Amino acid sequence: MSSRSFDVVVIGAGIVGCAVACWCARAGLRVLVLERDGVATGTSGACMGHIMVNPEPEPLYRLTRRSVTLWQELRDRHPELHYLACGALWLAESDADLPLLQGLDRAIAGHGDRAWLLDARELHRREPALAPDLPGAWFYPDDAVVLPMQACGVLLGEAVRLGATVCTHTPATGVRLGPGSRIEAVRTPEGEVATAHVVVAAGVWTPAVHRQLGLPPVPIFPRRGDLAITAPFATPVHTQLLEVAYLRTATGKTIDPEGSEPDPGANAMNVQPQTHGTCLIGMTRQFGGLDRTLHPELLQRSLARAARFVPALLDAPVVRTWAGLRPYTKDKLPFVGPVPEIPGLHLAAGHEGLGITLAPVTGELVAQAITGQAPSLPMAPLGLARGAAGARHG
Amino acid sequence: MTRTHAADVAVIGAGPAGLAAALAARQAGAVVTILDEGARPGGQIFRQLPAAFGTIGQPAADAPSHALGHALLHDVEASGVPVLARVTVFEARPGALAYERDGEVGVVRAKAIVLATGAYDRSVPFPGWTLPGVVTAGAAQVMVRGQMLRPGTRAVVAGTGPLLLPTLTALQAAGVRVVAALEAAPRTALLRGVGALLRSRAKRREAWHYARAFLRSGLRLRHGWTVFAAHGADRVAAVTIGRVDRTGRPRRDHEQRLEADLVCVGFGLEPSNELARRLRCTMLRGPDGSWVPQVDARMATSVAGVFAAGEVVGIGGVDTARAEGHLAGLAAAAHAGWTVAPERFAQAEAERVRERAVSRTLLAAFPVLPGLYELAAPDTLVCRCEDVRLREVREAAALFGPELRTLKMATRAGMGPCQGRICASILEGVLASRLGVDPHRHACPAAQVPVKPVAARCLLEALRELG
Repeated sequence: MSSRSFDVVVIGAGIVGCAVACWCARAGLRVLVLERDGVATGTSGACMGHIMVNPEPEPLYRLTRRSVTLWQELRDRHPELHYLACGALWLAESDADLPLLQGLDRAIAGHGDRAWLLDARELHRREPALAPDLPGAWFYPDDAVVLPMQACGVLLGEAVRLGATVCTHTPATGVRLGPGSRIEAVRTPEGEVATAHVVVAAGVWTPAVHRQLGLPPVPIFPRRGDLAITAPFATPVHTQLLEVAYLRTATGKTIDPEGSEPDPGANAMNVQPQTHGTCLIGMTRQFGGLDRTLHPELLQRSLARAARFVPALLDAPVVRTWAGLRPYTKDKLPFVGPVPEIPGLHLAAGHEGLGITLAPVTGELVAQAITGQAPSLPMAPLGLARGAAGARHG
Repeated sequence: MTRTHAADVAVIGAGPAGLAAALAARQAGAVVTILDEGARPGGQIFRQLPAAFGTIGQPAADAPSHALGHALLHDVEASGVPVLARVTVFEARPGALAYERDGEVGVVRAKAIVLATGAYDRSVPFPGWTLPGVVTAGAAQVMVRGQMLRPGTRAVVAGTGPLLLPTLTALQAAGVRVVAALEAAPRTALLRGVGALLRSRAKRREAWHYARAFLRSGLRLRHGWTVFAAHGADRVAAVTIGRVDRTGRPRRDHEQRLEADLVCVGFGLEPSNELARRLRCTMLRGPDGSWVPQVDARMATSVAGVFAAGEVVGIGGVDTARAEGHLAGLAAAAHAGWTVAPERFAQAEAERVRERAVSRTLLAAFPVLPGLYELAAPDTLVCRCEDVRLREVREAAALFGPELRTLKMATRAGMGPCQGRICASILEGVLASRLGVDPHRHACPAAQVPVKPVAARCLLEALRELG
């Protein structure tokens, strides 16, 4: 940190912090990234890598669609990015799921976007390794899979080449506010850094960072996920797979993260081939605080569920399993943009399972807010105010 | 149906430590099961030919330690302790293990676990080190002694430490012509090593056996020399060798090019510590920088019911392994509720302390030479699983700092099927030699299930069985 003054200080070097740094650096801002640990050592080092358009609800469609387009631009700009343009198949398990596929197709058509409904024959021609009894699927072609940690490296690498400074193992320990509670400086163990803007991109640790810095509470809740990955060249499928019934069960929708009842956990099939021919097998969800210990029983359910849709996965060698935390919000939308009570403070956190997908659009929106440009998408659904009610109840 | 076995003591590894542990525990009364990856027990050092080869006989003259090995193997066989051979233990919890054999899963429930998982070759990257025809000393021994294969015709043998001599002997016995035998450490290391050997009768005899074979061979061991590069289009055809300074750093003033189709490298050993890490044993840096489970005076790790012995608690050779295995076997039996007389413990503890002291001196005489990591060129692979080259690691370190986890993030080095077994020490070594990064700043990497790759169906079954 040779300079002691920056236009913006980003707290957190996960995928969101890296993307915010990248877009801010592109906007010509002098950027400092503070990371209390190493780059991508939190959620971004322990997640899946889907870049995925969500057809519903409407604000999420707009966000994900914009971000997928930005990822495609990143892929063109960075040939080193491990980007697998595999598309996504939303699978029906039985005929009962077929209306869900039609619902997705209607939703995407309503946005003027394009996808395909596949019958059983078309589906198995596309992915012969799928269980023979699956009746159909909905295919969205623009979805992709990246390697999350490598993607962090690519985004942060671009930021650094544009002049950004990265300080790992350097936590933000405080903020200095001026008149009107305006951000003036960030304190670190190595001294104070003058800045007009602070972006908190600390994922599940955002509430703790806000507490430490004396900033308003943020209702983000850690939700653990357990994953397994196969050896290279072992993937039996070449498209990202999701079970469409996940829309109906929404992986444990009724659980209140602030409730007193323990979360039994939920799982749904999500299988992702990667550029190396590795195959990532998910997914599980369970509230349980900041504990990152793998839950063997949920992982087992998740593997069994994956084998239900892709029996050949049972023969694939698994090289590693692990667990990570997802930053959950109650309405499933992240907090992105300025916090009005503290001028100069911006949030970029709470993306749950869509952190990789939404990182670029988050970076773009934050950079637009800091440079005073019109946002490329409406910001109101992403403001802290819409979640503040939840925080007060907690 | 999952096969399940119950035992008082489960011993993982059938090398000298594991065999001695199993015998001691059995003699104390315990019900013991041994699990081993090999087709037949013996481990790396007492490697036996596959049973089908039995009539052909042993290819090389046996060293004194091999006689000890045969005796141990014989005693274990006579004791009736079952050996589960060709199994890969891929999950361990206190009290339970899961293994895979031929696609089937088995579970062993045991009151005590003895980790006697041994060690594997430390790899040092140099240009051409991934060419076919470059093998580690351990692999050469497997080929010669375990499969009766001749790995090449003209060999350059390079490395450091006392294991070079048995490697040379094995290759010569297999009919390989050794064109250069290169010890990277200076001659003074040999003198210190000899000093250590003189303190142990068993080691004296062992060293004399190999030294005599070496002297008879007419070969000259060149001290302060090592392999700089292996050349060839699709396999090794030639080798560049050269001098190194006292720290192993290459000196480019005496390079020679030799014709050879085999490069055999042995830069010391690394403990197979993944099960200890998986069991969340407290891990310490050993004197050579490797991560080893902390053990008390009776080989107990920090996890109740988990004991460790032999190379996995620090590279020490066959006598240390046997002594520690014996002690760990007694302690494991005692943990499982069998009575072990205090004087048996006292004797075993004293022997263990004596042997470990000798091997520590020997290990200190042949330290990991940090300068050897300067052999790698910018386009030399440092992570074979993920095809990561030194240049990429340096570029990432310049951008993001020299932290292992961050470099893994940026380059994928260390994320492949070897789980860092080969590349973790290489990355530490190149970061230290090229960027001055203190290896001690890196934390011990965690290990998750499965500690070795296994089919998803086996993982699923084991998780169901173990919960």
